[in-house]
This record gives sequence, C-alpha cells and structure tokens, in this order.
Amino acid sequence: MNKKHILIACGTAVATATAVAMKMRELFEKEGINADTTQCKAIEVNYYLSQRTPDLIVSTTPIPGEKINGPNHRTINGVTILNGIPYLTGIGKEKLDQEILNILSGKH
Amino acid sequence: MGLLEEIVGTIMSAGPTIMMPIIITILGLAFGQKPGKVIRSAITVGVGFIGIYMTVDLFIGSVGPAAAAMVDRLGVRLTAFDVGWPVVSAISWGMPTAYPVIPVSLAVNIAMLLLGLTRTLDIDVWNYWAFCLTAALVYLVTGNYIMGIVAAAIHCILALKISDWVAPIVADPENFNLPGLSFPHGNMMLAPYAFLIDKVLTKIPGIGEIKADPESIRKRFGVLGEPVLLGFVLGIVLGVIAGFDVWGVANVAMVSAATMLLIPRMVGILMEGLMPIAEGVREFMSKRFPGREIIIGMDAAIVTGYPAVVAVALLLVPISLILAVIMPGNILLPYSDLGGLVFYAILAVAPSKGNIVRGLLSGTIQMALIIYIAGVMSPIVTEAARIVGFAIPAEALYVSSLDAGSNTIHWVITMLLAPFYGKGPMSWLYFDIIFIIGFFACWWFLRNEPKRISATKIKAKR
Repeated sequence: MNKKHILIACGTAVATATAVAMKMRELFEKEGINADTTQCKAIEVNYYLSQRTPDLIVSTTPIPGEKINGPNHRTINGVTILNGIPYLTGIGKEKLDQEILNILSGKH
Repeated sequence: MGLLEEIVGTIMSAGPTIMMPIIITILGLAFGQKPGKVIRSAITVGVGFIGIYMTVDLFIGSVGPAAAAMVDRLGVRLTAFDVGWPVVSAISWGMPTAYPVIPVSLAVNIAMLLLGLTRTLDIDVWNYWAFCLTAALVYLVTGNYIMGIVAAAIHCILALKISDWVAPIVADPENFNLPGLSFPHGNMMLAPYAFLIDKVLTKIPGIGEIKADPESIRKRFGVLGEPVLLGFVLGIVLGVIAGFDVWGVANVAMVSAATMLLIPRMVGILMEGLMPIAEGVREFMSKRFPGREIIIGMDAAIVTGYPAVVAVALLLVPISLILAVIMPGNILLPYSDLGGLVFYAILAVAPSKGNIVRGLLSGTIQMALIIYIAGVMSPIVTEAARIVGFAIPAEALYVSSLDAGSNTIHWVITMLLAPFYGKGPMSWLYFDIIFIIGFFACWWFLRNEPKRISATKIKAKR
C-alpha cells in the first residue's frame, strides 16, 4: 500500500484537529497503515487542495465549499470528508475507525 | 499561607518548561495513564512551551517594533498588541495557578451534575485553560492564590450554565445540527446580549430582508482566513504605516506570516502533550455518567466552519481594524486573533440562524466591546506574560488577546476586584455592575429564547 495522506481540518488547526490526529495515528499504528496527517483550518482546505490532493479529509466542522451528496456523504474536489467529532466525544469511534480503514483500503 | 506562598514562588521561578512536565506526570499517573505514555507527553508539553517562547520572541522582536513605530508616527494610542489566544492559553497553563484548576473544575462539574444543576459534562479539558486564565488574572490582581482558584470555579459554573442555555441552538438542524453537544466557554457568556441585539435588529424594518450569500463572501474574502496570507498582508500594512523601508517592510511581513502559522503549531504541540490527561479525564467522566441525559461540552471550534460563521468572520477582519482606530479610548491593535474571528462570529449568527446582515451588525457591536475590553485588560495580561517568562521589553507595548475581551468571565471578575486592590479605577466597578445587571436581566427576560428560536422553523413559517 502506498503511503496515504490525510488532511485534518478544524476551526483553529490546533485543538480539535490535534485530538483527531492523535487518534488517527493510534489507529494507523495498530493497523500497520503507512500514513501521515496534516492539520489545517477548515477555511484553508480549498487552498490546500490546490497544492496537494489528500486521500481523505477528516474534519470536526463543515468545510467551506464542500458538496453534500447525501446523508453522511460529503466531498470536496472528489475527496471524501468524514466527520471527526466521534474522536472527540468517544461516541461512534469504532464506526469512524472502520470508515477510515475502508476508504484507505479502497473498499469504499 | 506561608507554605502555599513558598510553593507558588518555587513553581514560578522554575518556569513552565520544567514545572508543566512535572505536573503533567503527576496528573497523568493520577488518572491512570501508562507511565511511558505519561512521560512522553510530559516532555512534549515542555517542548511545546519552548517552541512557543521561541516563536513569540521572534514575533514580538520583529513585529513589535513596527507596531511601536506606527504608534509613534501616527500618534494613535494603540499601545496594546494582540498576540493571539494561542499565546494567552500558553500563559494560562504556565501560571502557577493552573495546576489545581483541572481537579477543581472536574469536582465542580461532577457536583453540579449530581445536584441536577447542569446537564453539561465538560470533556473539553484543553479549554480548561480559560478557567486557568481567570485564576491567573484574579491571583495577579488580588495577590491571593485561593481567590484565584475560587474565581476559576465560578468561571466553570457559569460556563456550564450558559452551555445548558445555548444547547437548543447548537442542536437545531437549522443552526448547527449537533444534538447532545454544547460549548461550556466563557466566550459564550455574551449570548444573552447577542440574543437581545438580534431581537432588536428584527424590529428594524428591512434589515432581516437583505440577503447575502455566504459562499460568494467566502470566495472574495477567503484570503483573510489563511494565516500565512493574512499575516503577510497585515505585516505589509503595519510596516508601511510604521515608515519602514522596503526591506524593513518585507522583513516584518515575512516574520508576521511565519509567526501567524508557527505560534499555533507550537501550541498544537503543547496540546498534544496534554492529550493523555484530556483522554483520562474523558474516560473517567464518561464511566461515571453513562447513559444519562447529558449534554457533552465541546470546543466551539466544531461550528467555526459553518458558511454564515465563516462569512461574518471574514467581513469582521477589516471592520475590527477600523473599529480599533476610530473607537475613542481604545488602546488595542487587533492582530493575531484576526485569524480566529470565527469564534466571535458564532454568537453573531446563531440567533438569526445564519442571517449574514443581522450577524454582521451584531458581530460589529460585539467586536467593539471585545476590542475595547481586550485593551483594558492588557496591563494585567502583560504582567502574567512576564511572570511566565516571555521577554517583553519594558518600554514596549502591552500584550493582550481579543480572547481576553471576548471571554466575559475573565474581565467581569477581574474588573470587579481590581478597584479594591488599587489595580484599576472605580469606573471599572461601575461599568462592571451595569454590565452584570444588564447581563442577568437579558438572560432572565430571554430565558426561553434559544428554545423558542430553535422550535420556530424558518422554512415552516413561509
């Protein structure tokens, strides 16, 4: 598997994004996935996408310019956006873990 | 008291790069985290602090003189410099008042849940820094450590109450659509006034009818939301007004761009180190209150991406700068926190469910207060910054952050006490009392407003 790249977005790129990034790194370590994460503000995502296309975006807040294609299915420039809030509350964490693994392994 | 004073003195002289890791180790082990993990995160916290010192010194060393030159040249009295909430959060964690605040806040939250006085369970331990800042400011004003901790507990109580109150707005599908979550922040304390302002705005004919599209505002002003570009542009403006030559301007612009990106990154490292404790607390609390009808207290960052919030925040960037210049008596130059105005736009747009025009008017009124108070608070914030070890030259400007004005509880308590300790004029006391009476009056008269607004669906009405 190629090295995967995940963009993590929140309001500040500091607080909730860091919490999500740490949870994801734990997941990658456990599952033996070769991936790195970058944190940014939700409002910077558009600029970021003009520089580099991540394999997945996990965000704790809506991303300006995102497309809502259906319930729980959001994309921007064709990149899937997952809601990272379960990593903050602990509720639904396992489901989010699984969704991330599915997308990174191309099962989505 | 002698022993307590001695302990506080020792902690202060050791400084946060050494004391924070020690405290984190103790707290981490107390919350049952693994020693290896705890030690790693303790060192990470120290590393975060060192990174923050380096970047803030760079910022104050390069951008500070430009601000000072601007003040000299224009004769404007903007002598307090906004270094941003990330720096102030580091100051709060670094003050000796911070350490008891985590256990005290937890105890307050548990007690209030058990007594049925709140429905909010605040698992957002990172933002306990705001409680820590209240403790630090009150300690500095009164010289009394215990009073500082009591003030932090009061902050915690009020934050939980306001969280309960605004929860219907957070849950409303027409607003933020996050049922079961809310924001126990002191910054939310402007909510009663925000709801009043919006109520008044709806009475003015025509205002609610003007439609503005948040997406086109974002496309036009989106640059102001990117820290590097915002920092660069602000640096150029500041350097030019300061009368620097081309290379001087370029230098200020580059350092400004760099620090706008780097300082929050360093605070991110600090946050990383605090995570195991935050996790420990979350697990500890969730286990004790399972399956209850509770609202989970979260970081308001999770609603800062909503289109109306973003649009109003972007437009508030130039408005804040204009306000700072034209408001009589204001001494604050808004700077670093201009990249984080989304937080102050939340209360501006929530009562109208995202009406940009009403949100912008409400946001402008709130920003005027926030900027003004952030200036008033700057001498005390500067004193805290010096104690924690930031090298702020004696002749230089004061430092502050818009957050010190936005977080109502910090300044309401501080300005209430300061006149009695010779740290402020009696006029603070009068202003404060008027604000508090108005605050509770609004809260009382509008007590059902968040529920009513959330129950009234905009679409069904038409």
